[in-house]
Amino acid sequence: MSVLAFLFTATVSTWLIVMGPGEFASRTLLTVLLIPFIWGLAMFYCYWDNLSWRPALVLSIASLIAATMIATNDVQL
Amino acid sequence: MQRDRLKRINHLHTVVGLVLGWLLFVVCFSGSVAMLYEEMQGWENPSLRSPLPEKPPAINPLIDAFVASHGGHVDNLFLMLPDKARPFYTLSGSVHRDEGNEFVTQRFAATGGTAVLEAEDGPALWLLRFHQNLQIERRLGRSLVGIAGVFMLLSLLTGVIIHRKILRDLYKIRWHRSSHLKWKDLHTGLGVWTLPFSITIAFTGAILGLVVLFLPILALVAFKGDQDRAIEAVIGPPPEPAGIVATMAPLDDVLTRINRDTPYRASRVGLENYGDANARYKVFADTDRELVRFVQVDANAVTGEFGEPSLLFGALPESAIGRVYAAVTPLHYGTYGGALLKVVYYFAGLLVSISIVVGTLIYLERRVNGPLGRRSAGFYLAISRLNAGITTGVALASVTVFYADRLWGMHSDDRGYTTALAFLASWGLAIAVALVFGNTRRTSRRLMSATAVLCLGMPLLDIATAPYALQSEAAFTVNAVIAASGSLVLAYLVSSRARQSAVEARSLKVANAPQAVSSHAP
Repeated sequence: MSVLAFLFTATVSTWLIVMGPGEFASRTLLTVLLIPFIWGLAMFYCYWDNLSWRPALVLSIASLIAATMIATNDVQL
Repeated sequence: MQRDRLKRINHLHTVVGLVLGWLLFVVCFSGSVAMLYEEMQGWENPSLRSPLPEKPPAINPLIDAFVASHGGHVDNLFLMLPDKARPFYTLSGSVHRDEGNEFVTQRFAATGGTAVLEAEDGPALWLLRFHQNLQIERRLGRSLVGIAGVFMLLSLLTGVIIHRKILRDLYKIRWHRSSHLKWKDLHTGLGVWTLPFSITIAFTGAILGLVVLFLPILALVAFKGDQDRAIEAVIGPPPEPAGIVATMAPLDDVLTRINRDTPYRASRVGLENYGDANARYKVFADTDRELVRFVQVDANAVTGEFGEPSLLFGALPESAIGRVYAAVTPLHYGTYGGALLKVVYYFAGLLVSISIVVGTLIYLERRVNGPLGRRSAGFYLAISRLNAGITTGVALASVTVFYADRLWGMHSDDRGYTTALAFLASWGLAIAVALVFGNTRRTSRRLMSATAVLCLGMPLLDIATAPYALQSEAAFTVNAVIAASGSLVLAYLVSSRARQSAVEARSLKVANAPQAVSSHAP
């Protein structure tokens, strides 16, 4: 679950950096500030819901959506 | 909250503490010691310890001599100016050689003009690096420490949720009850009192560590793996050299004007394209007015003209996010309130470390002496001994390195090696002693006693072997903190022994009570 939460964090963080609001430097900083919270809360959610299939499903779908949006975005920085 | 959910969160709190407890302890403890890194640098180099001169020597000749001594092929020059904590110049840079770049550092006495004093980095930097990356490969070590920070945040969150009566438990420590209750109260009490501090250092530490882990991911997606470009996009590109040799404006003059015309005091300078027509002095100044590590003032190194002070470096935008990010380092290292704040950070860090150890003790105590646990009592006993060795051993090793350095390493060819050897040998020895000798409590007390005695002896050794031990502010601060730490450990050991004796006397009295009654019976 920690690994899944990490993958979720990595994907969402990348999505925030690539497609987030504001200038590149701003959104990079914002993402860096959010990473510990995103990862910690994702792990907390897994335990909160008894390590069931629901957190795994939610985190996987969210990661997949973020990854798809990054992949389809023509990154020009 | 549902009972089983609370139980699960409790389980998560326990698992995080057990799996990462030792790592968190090592990081927190070494971080506490490293808090006084700047003061220790002046303290650990007696030859560089001197009062600051009224009129400092000209700086440019020092830089020119440094560059010339390396064949003129030095860039990324960085100069640290003398201050009360470190009364000497430190000049560093990258030397280009055929076999690759080499990072070189040289120190210059603040009083002695161009007199060059060479002193390698001692235990202070070693302990700082141990805190930052565990003295292993930088990216791996720093990532591990960052991950530990995330898990510490998780542990704090779960701790707050499972301890429902936080305010009531603030003042509750049942010293005279069982070990389990005493440790439970201590763990909760310390955890609650240090909670704002713990959240701050865990959050900022996680950011500082995870940047190293996430930067390659960012670079991979946005810059096809080019990390330098990713960094440049955030902090701005360096100026391109013009390729024309130029005379540099006197740095002393530029620094004097910055100190006079701005509310800040310059403390270090990055020298970009030094000797080139497109050279820049990137001046960093300390501030106690804003929550940033440095205020940056860029100066043209040829004309000597400088711009407006900036609270953020490079291309960072002047926004709320930029200001929050700029506050991360000062918040983590306590650089925004002088030496006194660092001392507060040091003791707060030690309290957090103690809270982590006590959490592990609570778990082990119920398994070594109680009915809990799926494994044998012998297994938990071995873990208990290992725990005693690792935790008290880190403290012992952190003091031992200063003795080893002062008596041996400072005069040896490889100071860093001596420090590493002394630290690892004393830590390993402490672990071996804890594993070999049966009584965990007694072994811990002995190792802590040794640490306390070494702490109390270190200021005496410093006074005996170094000048200005009492006059130098940095040396006085470090000596006072080490002596205070030793005194506190000793006070704890004495009071703990007194409480133990009182408990034993009470038990004996209770055990003898029926005999006394029966002896008076007809």
